[in-house]
Amino acid sequence: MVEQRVIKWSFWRRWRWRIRAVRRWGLRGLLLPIDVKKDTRCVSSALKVLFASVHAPLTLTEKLPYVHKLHALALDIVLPRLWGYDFVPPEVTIDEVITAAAELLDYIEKLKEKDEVAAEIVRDLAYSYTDTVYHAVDELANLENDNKLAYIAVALHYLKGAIIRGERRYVVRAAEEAVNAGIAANPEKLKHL
Amino acid sequence: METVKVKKWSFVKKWRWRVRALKYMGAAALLFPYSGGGFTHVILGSLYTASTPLLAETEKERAKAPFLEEVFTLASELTEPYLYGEERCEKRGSVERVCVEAEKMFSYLKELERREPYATWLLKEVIASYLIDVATAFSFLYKIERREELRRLEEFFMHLAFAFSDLDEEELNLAREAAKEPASAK
Repeated sequence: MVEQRVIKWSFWRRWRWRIRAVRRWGLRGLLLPIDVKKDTRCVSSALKVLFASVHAPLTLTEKLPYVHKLHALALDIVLPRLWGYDFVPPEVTIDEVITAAAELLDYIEKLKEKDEVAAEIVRDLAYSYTDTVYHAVDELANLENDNKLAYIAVALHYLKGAIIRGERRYVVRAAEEAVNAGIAANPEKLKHL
Repeated sequence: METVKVKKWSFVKKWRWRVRALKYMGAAALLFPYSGGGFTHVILGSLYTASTPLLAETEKERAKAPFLEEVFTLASELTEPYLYGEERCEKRGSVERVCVEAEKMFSYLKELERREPYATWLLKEVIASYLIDVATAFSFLYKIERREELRRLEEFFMHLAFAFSDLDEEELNLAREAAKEPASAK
């Protein structure tokens, strides 16, 4: 593996770029490059994860019901913090996300019989996006010290396990957590998963 | 379809959230929530997407889809400097390598389409969507920097996106042509 060196832009280079960007975008140009001396990577990755969570591959959200539900959840939770808007009422409940995850596992199993590579890529895509949303929700739960968000993050954590291992028992575990934590909108329905 | 009402945060709510975020993220938290609305979101969003792998974070897992790995390597190398103010010395991505893997992926999807249309539909659309974001990122950068190679990269990724969204051989040829242009990133 090639060892990579990283050259940090100088103060002048950064500001020269910003001035160009300000001419183009107005004051918004000042947002980039993100310039925080300590933990630049850490801060940027926190922002990155928030952005990525609301910026899911849109076509996938239209075609894969699980990703569609998960994306709706991300929009309900993350977008208000990015834009300063709340959606009333929220579009989706954690129950719907968990139920859709169970259906996704069934679909991946069927696909695996026909084409293993395609099944792996679909699994990876679903896992990767779940991971992104999980990190965003977890980030916000820590930031806001919010129990409800923390429980949603726990449920998503189990869904990650379910998708990557292809094991339905983790979906059941996510459902149990949601019911026990009181974040499920319809606990009775989740018990039948 | 049910209409979703949108409630704008008050000045006080916005600033209360920012102060909380400040403690956690440092000064970068002042960027959120935006008062500027959607425009900034689109600019930053496409830059962030371009520098974020579509699949898993670890190289080992990403290796399952070498084409996406190559797109990510090239796109992140070229867009990350504008996000972080840092750039890598050793460049690992190249348009040529993206082209080679694109052709393999294209043939695979063509073949998969006969056996499993739904999965093909999913994969080609998700790939196209990622490529459009990458192209958009270069389009924004070109508008600022006015460098010809950025415009060519935008064109290259846009042709690739169309090639994958419709599995269109002609668009793949156009992408190949764009890759051959002398000023394309090496």
